[in-house]
Amino acid sequence: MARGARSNDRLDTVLVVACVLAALTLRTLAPVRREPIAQAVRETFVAPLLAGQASVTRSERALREASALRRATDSLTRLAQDAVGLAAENAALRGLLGLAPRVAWGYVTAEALPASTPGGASTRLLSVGAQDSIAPLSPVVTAAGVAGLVATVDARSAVMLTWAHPDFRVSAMSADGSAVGIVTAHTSNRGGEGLLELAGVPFRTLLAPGTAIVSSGLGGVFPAGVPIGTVLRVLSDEGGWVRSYLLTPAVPLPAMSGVLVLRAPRVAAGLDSVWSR
Amino acid sequence: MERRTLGLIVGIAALVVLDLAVLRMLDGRGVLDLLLIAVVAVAGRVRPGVAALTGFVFGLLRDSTAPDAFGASALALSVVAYGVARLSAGAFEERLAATAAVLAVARVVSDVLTVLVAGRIHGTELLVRLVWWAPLGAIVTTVVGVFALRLLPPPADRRRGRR
Repeated sequence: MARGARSNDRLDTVLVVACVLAALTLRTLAPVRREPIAQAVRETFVAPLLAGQASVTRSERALREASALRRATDSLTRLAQDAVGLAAENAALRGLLGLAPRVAWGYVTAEALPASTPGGASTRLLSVGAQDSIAPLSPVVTAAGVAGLVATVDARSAVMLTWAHPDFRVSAMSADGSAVGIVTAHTSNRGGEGLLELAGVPFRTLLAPGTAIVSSGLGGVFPAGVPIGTVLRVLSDEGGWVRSYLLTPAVPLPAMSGVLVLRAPRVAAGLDSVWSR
Repeated sequence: MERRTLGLIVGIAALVVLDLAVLRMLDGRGVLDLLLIAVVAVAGRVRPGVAALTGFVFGLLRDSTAPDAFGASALALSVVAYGVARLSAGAFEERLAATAAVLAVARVVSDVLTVLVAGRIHGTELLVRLVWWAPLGAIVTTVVGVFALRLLPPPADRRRGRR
């Protein structure tokens, strides 16, 4: 009897040690090796749940937007009755309803669902995947501007790096084209989480607080002209050669739920007129 | 299959599905942790080794949605499940205070382990997570967990004790 209990205890210890070792191994695997495992788990067990979650999110947003839609419908009804200047007014109302009509083609709408793991706030799980013709490095935008980019793509879902992710980069310029640089997430032990950093701006170019920063289109990931944020203040001037600026992001993380994922042909065609209105 | 076992499986499955499918949308910071409640419920009813394995599998499900921290939740929930099963052997569900204490400690340990192993947050954000969000998460998870565990069929030992 005692031998049986000891044997069971030994088996328990072996199991817990195996679990801890397996978890540590997964944690230390290179992203290229651990992603297929994560993808297999997601596609097998989490994807069916994700479909339900996405539909609940859509319902929640539909409820939130109900009043705006009702106002739009009322206005459209009045316009239909008046039948004067209908096309122009209709276009204005469509503009109110969001970004999609402006982008017009080459995109897919998605729900960006936050990860529940503590510290996983810089990634989102998208409710679209390879079957929606999106690919790694596809830009993700909202009506306000740059939200992030697609990191990995499964059949029915994808992982997105938000602009808050340490690996996120976008080449940027001031809206008037006078300054160029690279925008990254701002990470500092002295506070300022949730902000962006524009680095590598030539020292002679001074950007005033409130200056709009947009994507420059260099690198080919993001098309030119997508809003990234606005200048908050100078962060540093490294050796009198270049300056870094702290930016307020155009898309706050909490507001990132309904997004558009741009497909490659749309990126190639450019989006100059979409945000410049 | 026994009615009690079926009830337990349905209850645990409901907690897992709610955590992975619905909760994330309502609670971006992960204050309420239904997956942990499910792990504690299982740990109170099975051997420590099986509990650790369950924690590992549940943790892996959560990790798959955040590849940046892949393995962190699996490790944290394995350790928590093993600890709960080893220390309590299901007896904690007999008393309300013991249930609450186990859930609170399990949540804090799980949160701290996950955050440290994931290594994605540092500085003030880490401090805020450990000093503010971890205790707040423990309180919320404990309150909900106490009710959830009462709704699940009791462990076999407790049931025999009542007869």
